[in-house]
Amino acid sequence: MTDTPPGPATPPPADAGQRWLLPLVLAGALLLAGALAGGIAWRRGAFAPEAEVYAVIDNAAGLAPGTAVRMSGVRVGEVRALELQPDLTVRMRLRIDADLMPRLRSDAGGVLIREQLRPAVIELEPGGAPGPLDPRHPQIAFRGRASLTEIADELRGRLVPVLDDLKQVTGMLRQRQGDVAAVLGNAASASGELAGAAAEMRTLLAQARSQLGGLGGQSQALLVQGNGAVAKVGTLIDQVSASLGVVNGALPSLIHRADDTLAQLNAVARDTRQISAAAAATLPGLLQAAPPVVDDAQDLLQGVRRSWPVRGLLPPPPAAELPLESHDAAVLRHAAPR
Amino acid sequence: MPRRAEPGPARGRWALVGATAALLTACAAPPERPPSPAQQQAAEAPRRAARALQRGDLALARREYGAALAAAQALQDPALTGAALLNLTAVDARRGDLPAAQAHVDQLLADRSASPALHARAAARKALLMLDGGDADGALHWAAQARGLCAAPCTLLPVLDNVQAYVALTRGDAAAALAQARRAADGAAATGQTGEQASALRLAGRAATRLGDTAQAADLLAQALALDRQLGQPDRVALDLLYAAENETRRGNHALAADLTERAATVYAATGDARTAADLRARPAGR
Repeated sequence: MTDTPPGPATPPPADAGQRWLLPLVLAGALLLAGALAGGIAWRRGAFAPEAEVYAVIDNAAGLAPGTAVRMSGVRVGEVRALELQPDLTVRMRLRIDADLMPRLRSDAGGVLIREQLRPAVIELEPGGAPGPLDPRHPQIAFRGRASLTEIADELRGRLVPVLDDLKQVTGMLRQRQGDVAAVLGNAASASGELAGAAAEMRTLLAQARSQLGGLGGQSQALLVQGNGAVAKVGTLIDQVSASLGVVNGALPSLIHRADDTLAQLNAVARDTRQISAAAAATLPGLLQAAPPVVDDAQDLLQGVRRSWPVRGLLPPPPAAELPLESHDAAVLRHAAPR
Repeated sequence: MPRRAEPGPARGRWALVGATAALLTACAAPPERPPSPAQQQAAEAPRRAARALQRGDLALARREYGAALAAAQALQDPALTGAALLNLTAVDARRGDLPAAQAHVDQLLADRSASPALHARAAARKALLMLDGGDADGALHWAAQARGLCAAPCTLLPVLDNVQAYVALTRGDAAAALAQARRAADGAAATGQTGEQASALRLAGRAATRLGDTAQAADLLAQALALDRQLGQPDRVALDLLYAAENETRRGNHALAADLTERAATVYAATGDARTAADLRARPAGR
């Protein structure tokens, strides 16, 4: 009997399992990636029947292929292409769900909604004309809507002259010159305009709240802070307005009281000056620091910048350097001894 | 005999599996890294400092600008560092701490990596510090340096012209001061620097008073007053009124001078400077 020579070692069963592990993991990963891609494509309507409409616009600023098209707030398509025409207009082709085509009337239109905190979207308006949109020439009208930035700019343009009026009123009081009736008239007019501006600020606040309502939970909390800051502006304007009411009420009595006119006038001037200075210092900073009103609340701006969904949309703050003036020199700032 | 595990192929397979998992994880596009504490500090400290400055809280403004400087240096950002140093210079000068202000601006002037524009602004600040230190020659030297470094169109020119006008006025050359201040006023008006324009007109008015041209002085000071009122700057309005009173005294209009002085005192009192207001009211009439 001879000894059987030792053969090669038989690999343990565990090694056989490991041999298949890598291909299995890779296949699983590929399947997962395919499913994800398919899901995304399905969500974006890649498998849905499509229709196309177009609009001819003067300027495609803020638009790009892929810009969402919504109807009643629901995404129904996207911008497919932007084509520059020989007359320098832009033909914008929109891909939308084919099911929607019968609902579009001949006066259907699109509105560009562009806010800084959200990507631009086109809101499709189906129209109300009796005839349907011609499928052979599915052209829709197109218009842009004033953004919060534009509304804020307009409001700022109206507030700045009012603040100037306040300063003028303060200066006239301080000098004890000028027509008192004109002072009162200016004060009353400024007061009325400020009250109107306060109302508009509140409207703007409500608008900002509704337009920004779609952001995530973290941003929502931050926006509440911003809304609070905007509301503070409204309160401040109310305060200025109330102060002018004091001026209106106090001045006539001052005229008749010769003994302490100067003292009281000084007090009124000081009061008005302080409030108008506070308004001047606060309002331009709030309204000019960043384009949209909601961004002007600085705490909001900082908070939103840290929130990743919108961080990339906001510009970095400029380096703040104090302006250089010869008045900074104390020798030019203080009265020379006589 | 116990069988030894074969490390090579088995471990390599596990490494491949790990690498694949890592690759898939990387595809998940992690969120961007939040700004570092230094970046946040560099962005927020200057804002807090500016608010403090608006409230007149110079001590807090200085602390915040100091924090901004530290953050800017940590980020190695020359523009931010330069801005923080210039802001610290301005705040320290306003606090009356001229040595500290000089140290900041000298640090910036010694930094060869700073841009010429930054150096020009630093030189202009240095000229203002020299004025406050009573060194007229030093002020003119640094004003000339700033002029040489400032590229056209140079918005610093009205400030530098005003520095030269003030030096001329203190040296008794009222004619040169008037000419220089008028040039500063024109330059400031052309570039929309209303505050600087008013300062130039105030200086020109003072020079005209010294020259005895009180009519021109009254006109120049009235223009300065109108601009400062538009800007809502009470301290500058008070100065305009005070120099106008001085001019009227020189003209012999003592009643008008007293009225203007009283108005200046009212403004000083309204801004909380009760001591200056009391000093002005204590002055003998007509002086």
